[in-house]
Amino acid sequence: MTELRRPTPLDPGRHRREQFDSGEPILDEWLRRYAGQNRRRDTAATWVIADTDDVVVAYASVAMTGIDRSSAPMELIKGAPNPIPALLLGRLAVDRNYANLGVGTALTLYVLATAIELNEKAACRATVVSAINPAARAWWERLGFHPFQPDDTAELDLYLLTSEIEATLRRLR
Amino acid sequence: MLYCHCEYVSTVKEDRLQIRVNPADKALLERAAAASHLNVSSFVVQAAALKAEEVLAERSSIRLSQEAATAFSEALERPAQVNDRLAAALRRAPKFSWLD
Repeated sequence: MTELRRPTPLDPGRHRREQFDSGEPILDEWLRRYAGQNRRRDTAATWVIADTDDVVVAYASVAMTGIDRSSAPMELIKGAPNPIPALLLGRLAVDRNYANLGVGTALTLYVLATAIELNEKAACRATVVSAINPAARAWWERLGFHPFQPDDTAELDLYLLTSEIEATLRRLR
Repeated sequence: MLYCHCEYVSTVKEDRLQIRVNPADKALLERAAAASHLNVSSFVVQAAALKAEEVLAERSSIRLSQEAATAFSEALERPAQVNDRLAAALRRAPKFSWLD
């Protein structure tokens, strides 16, 4: 069985990413050229799953964000913070040679566990994902994510509430 | 024999985007495109797509439409719900193992 290292923050000096091929050139290019730089700018953290030779097999980029609800009716927003603090899982890509093993799901579950931890220590009420195309949206929906506007087929932003993740984990325990 | 300058032959019908550009920016784009062995159109589209993806993936604020903001606010108010699809994903055994 394929053996992989558990998720760790990208280490540009150690992790090999030249050959990374997810089939989505923009995501491959971003990992090869920008991931290391970005960490220094601190806009997003990059987490990777690598093989035994430190070759990156999957990566996710994660940043803090806020969900702005100011367009909702006043009485709905009252009493809760606006924006709602959330985690943005802005990128998720898996190398095609490792497709269908559950690597993308494993990395997502790792990020969701991070959302729970953040929610306990500060506040993180949801995880938002930005699907790169409609096929990716369908993948996120299969994992339980909800499109912000379900009836709009062009909608590519989806969310999962931290309370749902917590309730689901409690049920399975 | 026909010689093709295009990077790839797309089977998808392509759309057109018209943009205004001042001569200095245009010259800059042409030089950069030539240095990248791309035509100006391909160069601009590739660079802009990379930037667009970055903007979306690193938004510090996610603005919702009125409809979406209303539905999301209502979801926040509801008691915590078990998510069956997520539960199924958590139960599914991965086809790889962690190196521990």
